[in-house]
Amino acid sequence: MTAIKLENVYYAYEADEGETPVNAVDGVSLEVEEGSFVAVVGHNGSGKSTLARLFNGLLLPDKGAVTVFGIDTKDEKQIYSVRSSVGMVFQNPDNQMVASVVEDDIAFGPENLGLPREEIIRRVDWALEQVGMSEYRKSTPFRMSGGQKQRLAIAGVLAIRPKVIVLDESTAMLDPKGRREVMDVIHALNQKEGMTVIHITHYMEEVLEASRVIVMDGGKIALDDTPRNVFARGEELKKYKIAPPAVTLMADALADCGANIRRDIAEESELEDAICRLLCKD
Amino acid sequence: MRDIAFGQYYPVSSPIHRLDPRLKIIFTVMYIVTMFFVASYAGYALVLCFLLAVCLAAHVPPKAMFKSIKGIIILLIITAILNLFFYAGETSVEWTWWIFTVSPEAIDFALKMMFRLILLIMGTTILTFTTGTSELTDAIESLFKPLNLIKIPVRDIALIMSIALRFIPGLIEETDKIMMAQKARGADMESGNIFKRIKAMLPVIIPVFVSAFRKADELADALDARCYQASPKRTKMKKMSFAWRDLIAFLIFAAFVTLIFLDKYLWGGVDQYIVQAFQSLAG
Amino acid sequence: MPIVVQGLSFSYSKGTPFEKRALDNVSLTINDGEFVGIMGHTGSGKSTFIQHLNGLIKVQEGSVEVDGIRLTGAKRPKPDYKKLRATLGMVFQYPEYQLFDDTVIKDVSFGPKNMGYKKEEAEQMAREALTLVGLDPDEVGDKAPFELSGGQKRRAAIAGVIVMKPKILVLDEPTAGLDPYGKEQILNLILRLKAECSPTVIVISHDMDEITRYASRLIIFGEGRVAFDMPMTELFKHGRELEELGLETPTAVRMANALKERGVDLGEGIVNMDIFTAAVLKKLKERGVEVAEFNGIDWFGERNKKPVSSADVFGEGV
Repeated sequence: MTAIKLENVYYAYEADEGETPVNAVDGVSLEVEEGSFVAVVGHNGSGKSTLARLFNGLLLPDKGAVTVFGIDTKDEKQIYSVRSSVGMVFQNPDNQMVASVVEDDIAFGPENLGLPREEIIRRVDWALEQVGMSEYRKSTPFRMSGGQKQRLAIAGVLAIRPKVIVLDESTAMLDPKGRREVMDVIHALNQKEGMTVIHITHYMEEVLEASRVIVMDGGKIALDDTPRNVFARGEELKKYKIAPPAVTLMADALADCGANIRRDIAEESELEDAICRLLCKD
Repeated sequence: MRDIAFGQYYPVSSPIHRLDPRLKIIFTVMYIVTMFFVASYAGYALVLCFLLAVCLAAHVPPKAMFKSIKGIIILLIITAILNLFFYAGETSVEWTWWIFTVSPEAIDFALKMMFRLILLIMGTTILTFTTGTSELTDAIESLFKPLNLIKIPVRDIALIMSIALRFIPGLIEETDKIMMAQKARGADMESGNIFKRIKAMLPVIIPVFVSAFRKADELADALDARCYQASPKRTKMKKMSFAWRDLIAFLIFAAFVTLIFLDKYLWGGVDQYIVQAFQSLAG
Repeated sequence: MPIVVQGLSFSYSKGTPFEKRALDNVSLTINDGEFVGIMGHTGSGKSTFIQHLNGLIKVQEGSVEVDGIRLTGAKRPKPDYKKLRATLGMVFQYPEYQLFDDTVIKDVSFGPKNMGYKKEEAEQMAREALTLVGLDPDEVGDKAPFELSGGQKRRAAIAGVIVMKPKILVLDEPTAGLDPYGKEQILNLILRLKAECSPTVIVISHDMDEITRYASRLIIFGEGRVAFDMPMTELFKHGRELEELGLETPTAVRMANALKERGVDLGEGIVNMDIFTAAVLKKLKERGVEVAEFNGIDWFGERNKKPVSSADVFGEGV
């Protein structure tokens, strides 16, 4: 089933007086299948954050239509059913928490939905378990690590029981350990709970973990393929100001210097095999 | 700056934490009012003992409570000095040195004023130590529910207040960071007269404001994404209901307030009796 | 003159129940002309350490000496902070968040004005600094900082620090939050600044693959102490301990180790992807495969200088 569908969507932010508005999203059509793990990449200003905000109706398209499980995000009466099916996690975990006690913060979403008390408690339990933070239920997030805080922010979104979770550069401010924690959580959600994940990021190692990657450039979809196929298209990536992961960089450099190595290598073990084929004594 | 404890929640489980937050707010307001009726040093000592007892019952280390004064220490010193030298009431003896005049009454007044301020801050800190911002929101919303009738959006106001409280530590940290960055560029914020200093603070204040707006922007998106205002009937995870615990707390608090009022209106300040008792012992 | 730190210890909220030890007996020396990478997980003490270097945090125990200026816990003699801050420039995380003045040129000249330069002199220095970071002062000088793009803002903020031509430049996660192209540009800028203005560079980083390509020495902090300070080839033999400190070994090191197990020994000294690539090409050449000259990985084709350590290890002709 299609989770999110964009049909020829345009969006422009208001421009200063005397300036023509530039389309931040410029004629995008795309479908996201339920249960898929999609990465969105692109240089700063390529329109990817705008795209993310169109997915759950935080922004509404100027032209074209965004539908979430068949509901048009422009339908005012159903905006909250859109928002409760597409959860969104932002960049800075400190700016997403409303309460000073963990469980109160997670409960904020379900409380807004007007759910009965027992259901709220069930959801808080469930959400904390999903992110592996059950023991911190009564704690305060103030002194936690970035990774822990961001996992709580995810739990806060999970508690509204969305079918899709959008992460808008949610790993950008974390250290490698925190990034790993967040990636592990969203993988488990994708695989065990069948949740659709849309992950916007600058880290190409994270893109490798997705089943599909969309490259944005100038508000348009530049490439839309598997990570491997995308990373093999070196010249185009350079044009879109994107660099592939370290392994691909090395494979590409070796190929440039005349070594017989494929350029679409993305995993360490593949590069290892490729080099071994040339150098291992048989 | 990072030492300011105000607005922080102390995450432990205690009978005080479990009290009905509405009751805690009412207690705090009554406590603030009562502070203006303390008539004697013995009274201040009683208040301090009371706060220490509450602190212990709340499993909060008393040191944390004392730390809350750190933020207002300059204010304390300034008021103490002003009260000391510009005391306007009747005086019995006056000690004069150069242009300064001090009397025992002025000292008495300045001391009492300082105690009052210190105890006010410490008392209100206990509220934020033991009550999560979410509970505060719910409690304020519940207490001011009648205002809904005259179309005042109580829930929104309560949420704004509690979020503001939650953001204080983050903003202080941010201020700290920007201050360091500007100092590293040679900014001097510690010398010169007051106007110079205010001007010197601009390179800190402007970025902090910008940062606060940026935070607010992201927070607004986050609130929307979490379906804020989705349902006209917002529900609550935590039930607020009166328990035996609350009644006991009320009785203890009432006894405390009664003692303070008795001291002022019936006994006229017990200090005099204590002094007399000491004198008769000595004599 | 070098940076000499001896027995430096520091606790936050000292003497209160919230006391937290952030630095514990740190001693190290950083010589002129070094490019030092500092790594460690959040709370390892690395930020507290660099904040000591220009007196933003008062020394509690031990001493810090920067280019002959000595900082100790003693009240007197009062160190010359102005001179210190002109000698050691510090770029904080997300430096663009500190921009405050209404035009870029005014903002960049904030430092020199604080140091007592006249307005004209200060603005002339600001123009030079902007040019050095790759911004055209005529084009951006009179703009408001918020009119610049993300990458330009960061450059302008860096200009505001290097405007004093500090001999030592310290940067706390200078590429945080940037896209890959922006990162590459900032790293190239740092190399240029090192060559043209600040010979000693200290960078805090979380990205092992990135920092090993630029730094000639890594210092790893853990639990407030210097956990590792040794040549990189030695350091990466401690893979497991690094992992315990929340750090990974570079991809190139993992690859070289895996290949070694399969009988391909690329030799000692593989610490980054440039050296790894060079070593594989060298092996291929030995096998009689014709390979082209390799000058380091340069994806965007904008690198203005060869990667630091590739030639050091393999000599000419790699």
